[in-house]
Amino acid sequence: MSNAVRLKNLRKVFEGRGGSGRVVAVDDVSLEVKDGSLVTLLGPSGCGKTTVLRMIAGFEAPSEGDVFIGDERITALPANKRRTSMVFQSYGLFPHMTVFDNVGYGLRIRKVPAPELRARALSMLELVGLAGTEARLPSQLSGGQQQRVALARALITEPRVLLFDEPLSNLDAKLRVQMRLEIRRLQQRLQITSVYVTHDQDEAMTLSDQVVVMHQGRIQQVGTPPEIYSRPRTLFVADFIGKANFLAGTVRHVEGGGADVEIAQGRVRVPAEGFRPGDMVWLLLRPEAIGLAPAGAGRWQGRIAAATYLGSEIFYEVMVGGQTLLVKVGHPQGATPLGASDPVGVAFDEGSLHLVPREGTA
Amino acid sequence: MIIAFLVVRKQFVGKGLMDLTSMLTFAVPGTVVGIGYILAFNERPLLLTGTGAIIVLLFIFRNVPVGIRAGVAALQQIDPAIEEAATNLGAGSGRTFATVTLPLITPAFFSGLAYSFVRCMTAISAVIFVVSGRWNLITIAILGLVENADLSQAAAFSLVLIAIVLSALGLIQVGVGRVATSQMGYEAAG
Repeated sequence: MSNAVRLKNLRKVFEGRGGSGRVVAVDDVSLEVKDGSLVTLLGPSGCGKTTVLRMIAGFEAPSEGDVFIGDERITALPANKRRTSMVFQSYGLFPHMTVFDNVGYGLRIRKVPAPELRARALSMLELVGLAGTEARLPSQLSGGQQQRVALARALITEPRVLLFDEPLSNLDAKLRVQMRLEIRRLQQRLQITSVYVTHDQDEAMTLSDQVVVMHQGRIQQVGTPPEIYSRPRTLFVADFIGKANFLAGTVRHVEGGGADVEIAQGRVRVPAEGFRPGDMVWLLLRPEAIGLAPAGAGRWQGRIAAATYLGSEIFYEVMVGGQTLLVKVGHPQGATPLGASDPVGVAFDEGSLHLVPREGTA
Repeated sequence: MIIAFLVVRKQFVGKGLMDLTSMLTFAVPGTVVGIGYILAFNERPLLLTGTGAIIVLLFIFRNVPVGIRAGVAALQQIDPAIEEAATNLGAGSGRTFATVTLPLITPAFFSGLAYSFVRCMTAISAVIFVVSGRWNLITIAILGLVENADLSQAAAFSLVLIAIVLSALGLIQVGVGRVATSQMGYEAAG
């Protein structure tokens, strides 16, 4: 039986108190999550990603549209019959029960006999690396351990779909990295269809088979992490994922999978499809795609405006023809970093450029 | 407790009104409530004046708000995700309430109970109108004795009253303490 999740024209409108202030939280979201894959919903807070997740879980009823798991339409099914499991941002552990009772809760509801329940709960605790903690209360565990308990509790019922609602945002940075690797490992080992909500792009990039970028209730782009990063389709996606320089330009000539774009600094040739001469565009230039050359060499000439030293790399702000370009340079060990107002050349490969549509006049 | 649950967790028409009416008997002065009870229950089919039942009823309705407020306060402290987690794992709403929500608000329930009990034992304003020869209350008896200048008997009654209240409070305290320690992580985790 397939456990793919399918969302069809999902829409959610929240009515304000007394009928005032309608908020469209989710607008016409259609999406397919393939059986056994992990899809992240990524976006800034308030973009509707959590609402989508809660509609899959059944905590919110969609205003319009349908939710399917496999071929079954579950839009009207109550949350407790959907066989989806959620891992919450605040863990949502039962504070009055021991770790063992927390993990076993789903099985007890399903009236699984005690010996089997015990065996399964203990093996689940071992799977998440918490063997030996079963008699403790959740409050006696650290944040990371509590989230593992929540994960074990969610997994034990063998849900059709596993839902994550920003599960790592209450943890410190190091633990977050470790936990996300662990979540990915478990998800791939158990082949559970998963939907993961986060506002952390690193999390989305490392975890996902597919990333869904959302903004103001709408899906901006769906793609694999490399697709999203190197070929964003809108300004929002390009700006939200990673750091980027945007140069306003106009398409002058289109030929054979490339476009000549005129920008303030001159003309460049950019790989592009679907653009026509006269289109207004943003030229996207990632900081790591730019290199610094000695003054006089390189494509453009500029001056260093500021330098930010981060240990493994340095970010330079370079003034080029009245515009500041952010340049990332892997820190060459032992070399002296450039100082403010040093003249430099700026070099890049035209193949690394990318275009997104620009609306109106900039 | 169920009213408290509805008030905190659910959205429905007239929610504000229910919250308000649940507070009403608390806001109205005791004498008014007492006279109101005599007037309301002085005729058939609800002829209750002069019975013990009317005292009990009066106390129940007069102290319902205490329980509701305590429940509301306790529920607002509970992360909705905890209840959602239970639902998510397959528990229906009744099951969720019984296995998760109720145990978490039990301490609030007992402290509400203790408070109500003490208030009932020492109340005088509303009940003074509904007591009768057969069904009297110790507080009112004390008042009567003082008026008759029978101070020694009044003092004896007072002592008995204090002893009853203190021992009841002590019992409840022990009970709540046991419940509270069994879930001591809750405050800390909150």
